[in-house]
Amino acid sequence: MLSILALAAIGGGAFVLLRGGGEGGGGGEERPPADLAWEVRFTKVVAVDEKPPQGRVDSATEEISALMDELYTTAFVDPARWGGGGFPDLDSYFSGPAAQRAVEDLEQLTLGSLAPRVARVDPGASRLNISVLVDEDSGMTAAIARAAFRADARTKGGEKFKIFHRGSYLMEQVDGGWRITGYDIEGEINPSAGVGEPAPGPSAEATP
Amino acid sequence: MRRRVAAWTALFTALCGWVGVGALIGEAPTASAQEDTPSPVVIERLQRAAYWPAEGEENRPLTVLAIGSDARPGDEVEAHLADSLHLITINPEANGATILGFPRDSYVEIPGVGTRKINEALFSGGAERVAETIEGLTGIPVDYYFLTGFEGFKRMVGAVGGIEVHIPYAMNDSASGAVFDEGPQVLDGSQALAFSRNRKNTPNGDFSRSENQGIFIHSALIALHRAYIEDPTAIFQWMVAGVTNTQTNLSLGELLQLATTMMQIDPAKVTNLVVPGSTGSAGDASVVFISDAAQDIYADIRDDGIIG
Repeated sequence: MLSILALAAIGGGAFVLLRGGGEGGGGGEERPPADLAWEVRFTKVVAVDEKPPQGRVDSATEEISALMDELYTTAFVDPARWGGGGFPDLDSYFSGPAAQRAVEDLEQLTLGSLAPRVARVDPGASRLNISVLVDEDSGMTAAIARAAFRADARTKGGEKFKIFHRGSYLMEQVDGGWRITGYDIEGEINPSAGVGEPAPGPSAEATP
Repeated sequence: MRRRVAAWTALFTALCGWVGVGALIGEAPTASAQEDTPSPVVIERLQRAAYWPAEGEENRPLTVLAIGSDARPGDEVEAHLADSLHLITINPEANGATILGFPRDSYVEIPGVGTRKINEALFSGGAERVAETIEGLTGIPVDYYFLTGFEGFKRMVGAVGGIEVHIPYAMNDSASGAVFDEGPQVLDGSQALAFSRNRKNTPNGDFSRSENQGIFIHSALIALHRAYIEDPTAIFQWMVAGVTNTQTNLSLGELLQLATTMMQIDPAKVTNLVVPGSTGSAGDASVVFISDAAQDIYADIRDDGIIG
């Protein structure tokens, strides 16, 4: 009986090792990427004249949140989008000259050159504050999304580390959708912070 | 007047503060470190704003003309005299700018009018005529202008919660209402107007007044930077304060680009000066004759917007 259990244990361990999962596993990560769910804390409306109906504000909030989802999923969460560190889709979230500049700023906007060594990133509590600028015709012409992204991550060698990334993204409506046209970012990747507590770093709680 | 709408539109990207050039600073892995252990990485602050100079024009300055009319509440601001005139030249690549003031009595050629005091340009042809006058005088194209009167100026300052200004010397002027001790203090709208109007209780009359107005503009830039650091969306509130209390040839989108560009300017790299000149008479009028030395200033800032 013991020998059967031992064989089962060995077999199970081999299975885990072969599929590359489990803490400390040395291979790639086959589990689907974790979901990134922003806590949208508030949306502020700054209007030249009258504020638009709440429904339009809510709609803009959803669109901007979705864009930030895509941006951070591509930049940090989903290894399938990293392109070996080239992040080929990242520029699609930007517009005009900002798209070109984003390609040059990959090390600041994404995991950058660290990406090929990372097996998995699990987002933690991440917060998003949105402000929209409303013109005299009640059109929402620009927005600033302030993101505070936190995640626990693991290298392919099993080393754990934390990611903190904060950004203020200036957005405009381009061809009917929001695109990033400017940014102000900073962050920290810290292997010594341990897992479970937020990594130290710049305050994520900017004054509304 | 030259307008660079296309360039702005094509560029909404780099700026203001949005120009800190950040770098990814990582500690290089050592031989003893595990290969897969990431070194601590600090992603230093990186700002990219909306303005993106065209290739080959990286040092070409943006120019903004700030016009203060002496229109009282209820008056049409363009139907009065421009008692405050400042040409602001901005170089985002160098993170610097120049605020060049023109005494209101400067005796200059006003296109289509003749040689007059410069403040008459507004009355004779609106903000566009003022811009043409400055362009003819300096040889520097004006991209954008802002025009406001007494009431708009006060409301604008009030809308952003006041501006902290380092008052350069004690003032006690009943005409303007400027009563201040030397040193830093936060001015509300009325105080800001009084500080900017005082010319009688100053060391050098209208030259000093123009210099003080430049100090105020510089102080506003510093205040905008502080507000932005505390809350980036403050830039929207400042924009709304501006567009609702001024006349301008900027669209809201262009103003956003300009605002983010200004965030890219280091306040310590802003030079405030007044064109040199001397007082004299033209007929019965007391005027300011701009000296030849002003040509050196125009030439200096024409290409890159900054002194030196």
